[in-house]
Amino acid sequence: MTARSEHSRYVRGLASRIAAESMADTAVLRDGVVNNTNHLLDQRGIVIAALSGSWTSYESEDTGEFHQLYGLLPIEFPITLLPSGRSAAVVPHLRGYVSGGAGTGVFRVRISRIGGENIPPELGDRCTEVSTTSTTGEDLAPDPIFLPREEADASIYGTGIERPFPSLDGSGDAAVARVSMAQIEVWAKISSGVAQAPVLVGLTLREYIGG
Amino acid sequence: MPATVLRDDPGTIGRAQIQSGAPVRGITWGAVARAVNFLNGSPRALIPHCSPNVTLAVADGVQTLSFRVFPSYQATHRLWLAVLEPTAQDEAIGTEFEFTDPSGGTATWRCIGTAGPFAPKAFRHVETVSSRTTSETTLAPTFESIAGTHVLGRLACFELPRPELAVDANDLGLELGSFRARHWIYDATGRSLGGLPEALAGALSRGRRHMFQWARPATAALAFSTTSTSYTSVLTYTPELLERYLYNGDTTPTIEVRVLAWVTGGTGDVAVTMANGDLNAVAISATTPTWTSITGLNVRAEDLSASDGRRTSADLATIQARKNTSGTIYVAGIGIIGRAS
Repeated sequence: MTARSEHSRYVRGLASRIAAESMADTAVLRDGVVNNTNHLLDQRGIVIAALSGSWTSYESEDTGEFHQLYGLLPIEFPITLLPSGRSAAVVPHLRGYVSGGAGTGVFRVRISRIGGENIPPELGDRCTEVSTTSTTGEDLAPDPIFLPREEADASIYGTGIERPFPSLDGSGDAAVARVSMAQIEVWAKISSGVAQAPVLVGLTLREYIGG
Repeated sequence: MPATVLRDDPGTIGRAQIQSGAPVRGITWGAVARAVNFLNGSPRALIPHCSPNVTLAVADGVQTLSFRVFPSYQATHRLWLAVLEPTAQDEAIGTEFEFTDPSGGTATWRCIGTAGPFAPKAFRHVETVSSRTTSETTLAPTFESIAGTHVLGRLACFELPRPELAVDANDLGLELGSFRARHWIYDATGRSLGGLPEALAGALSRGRRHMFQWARPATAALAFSTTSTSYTSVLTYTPELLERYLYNGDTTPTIEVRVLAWVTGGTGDVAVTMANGDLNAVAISATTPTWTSITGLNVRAEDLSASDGRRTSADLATIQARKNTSGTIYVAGIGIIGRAS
């Protein structure tokens, strides 16, 4: 995504340049206020997960079919939705290997609305893939994934996670905040070597809005 | 007009019409105010999904996990997400687990019937924050296995969005009505031009602070421990860290680490080694669980020209501990904290 901020960085010294009795000139507004606000919008992606464990599909006999990794339930998080019509990029980093001897393990990471589809993921904007033949552990960095707007909208209104939260601003109004939620699933298969199984031992997920 | 918070990213604030010698349009001021309210009222991660991977039996009683965080004053509610896995299933009584959030709210989570033996289950809990602050603090949720033995496999905590902020020096809400076209400009907290710098500074410090969290109960039986005098990995994984790109020339800015650790005597060390080559260690001499800081860890900042933000390659953190002489070092908490400004 093209940077929203004019300088692609945060410009320091704003507070001392806008104060009572000071003139707020065009440069202050453009560099200090508009640029900085746009840059913070570009830099507000959160870290979603940093998980360690040992998850495998236990389905080595079904060579060629993706299975969800046992025990790694969908990872839910509040997602950032952008004006472009899709979410912030979710950037995965995995560490995985193949157990049981030589083979190729393939991992797919999919983003979806809460509840998901519970069917093997197809490659595309929402799903990325990476493979390994390591038998000890390899760091894997697949492409970023995105949640399209239409799915994100389903997440907002159809998940059951949204609920009324009272406003504590002193006005006493009963306001409602809705949170857009999404989930990440990891699926895996063995593409060669029927006696082996793909094993995931680490997973980092972070949002990246860019600049 | 109140300090409303939009649900989604409000989009780019246009700058083309900000020209020398010409007045700044009210629509520009309004767009800035809406964006800053969004930055100060939107969701935020306090504890990204982490893996305590701790087995809790009934006999373990109430156990506490501790996380060092910089909360938002704006957050009134937090969403806790957990994954529990019973180590066995008793169909007659099921298994039961009690969670108490840091504000004292409780939830009872049950794994029965359809869960099937050993099947993990996900749970959600919304905490109503009882005491709001922006100061560094320890979040200390407690866990108790009431029936059956469970593995607490995953835990996360996110601050939930606000629909509307208070127009004061704590919430830093900007009253949108004071940014209207033809409205006069004045200096006041949360209103007009005078309210902007403080609110924008709050948005800066509210950014991506919590880059990694991990915790286990601070007991000799359940914390990570080693007697080795060689560095031993605390985690079985090296998480990727990537700091915000804030200022011109940011390549490996300095962030901080919090470590909850103690030793049985003498000293030990906890070290964080980054893939970029930076290594920082802190000596541990406390004999009871104590938070210690590493203040000089350099991690890569985002490369804004890269499609995934990575500057050359993933910057992985290896977290290790060692005991310098005889005895044991225990580690029960690690938090990696990004810059506030």
